[in-house]
Amino acid sequence: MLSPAALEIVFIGTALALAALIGFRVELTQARGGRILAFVALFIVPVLAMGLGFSEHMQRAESTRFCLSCHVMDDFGQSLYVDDPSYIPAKHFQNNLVPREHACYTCHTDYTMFGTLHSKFRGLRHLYVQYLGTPPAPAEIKLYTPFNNRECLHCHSGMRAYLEQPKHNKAPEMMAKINSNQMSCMNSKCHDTVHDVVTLKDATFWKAGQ
Amino acid sequence: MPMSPTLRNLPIERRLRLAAILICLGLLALLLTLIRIHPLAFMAFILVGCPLVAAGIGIFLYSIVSHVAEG
Repeated sequence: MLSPAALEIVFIGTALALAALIGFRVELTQARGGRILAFVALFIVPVLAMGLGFSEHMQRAESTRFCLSCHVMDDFGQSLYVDDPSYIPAKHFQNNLVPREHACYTCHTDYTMFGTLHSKFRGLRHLYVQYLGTPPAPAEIKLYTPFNNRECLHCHSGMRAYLEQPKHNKAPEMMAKINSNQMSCMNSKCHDTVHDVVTLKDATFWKAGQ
Repeated sequence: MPMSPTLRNLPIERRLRLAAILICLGLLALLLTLIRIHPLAFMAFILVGCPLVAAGIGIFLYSIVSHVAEG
């Protein structure tokens, strides 16, 4: 069975062959059938090919492989294999709490109505910084805006282990503050070990998963 | 956008051939961008493949519309 990406390639290849046929045998368009073929080959199929290609690229942009394809992200990819459950991304990645093939996107997208679109524009900003700006050293890389608890709560909200965790209920108003993003999951000295690429040189790694 | 006088003066067969060539080049670029998973492949898709295909489609549509008008 062909994968969707392979089908996409076959479709674009067919579109290419059809357009080439019209290009080389333009006299075909003198007949009625040839004109219909030209309309299909030079309008309908190319429009569909562009749409499918765009959709495929959008899906690829959500893959871990895509995010880690820039050299500056190498250390962040490596941090997913740290053998220490206090590293939040490593714990989620190694225990399949996020899909491994979409690990970066799962945590770093915005779970809002236009979150996906917003994430794609943020990706374009990354590209601008990478290729037209001055990319910072891995240790200097920071989020453009503070991480919103909403992204954690997309999965953890309503989860028994989250609701009954004594540390989340130390004070009566604490849970409400976490849920409303007034108290950050990460900057409140609770889950503050995230990628921490500075400490990677001293870390040990989960070899079996690599 | 007004078409250049050169394009307007071309016979419809030449316009169709030009449209087909542009679409072929664009589709070839689209195919090549699918080989690798990389941000630059996406940029090549947006900045090279899509404009070539769109230009080809534009010329094709202009050709058939102007041909009908001339006819």
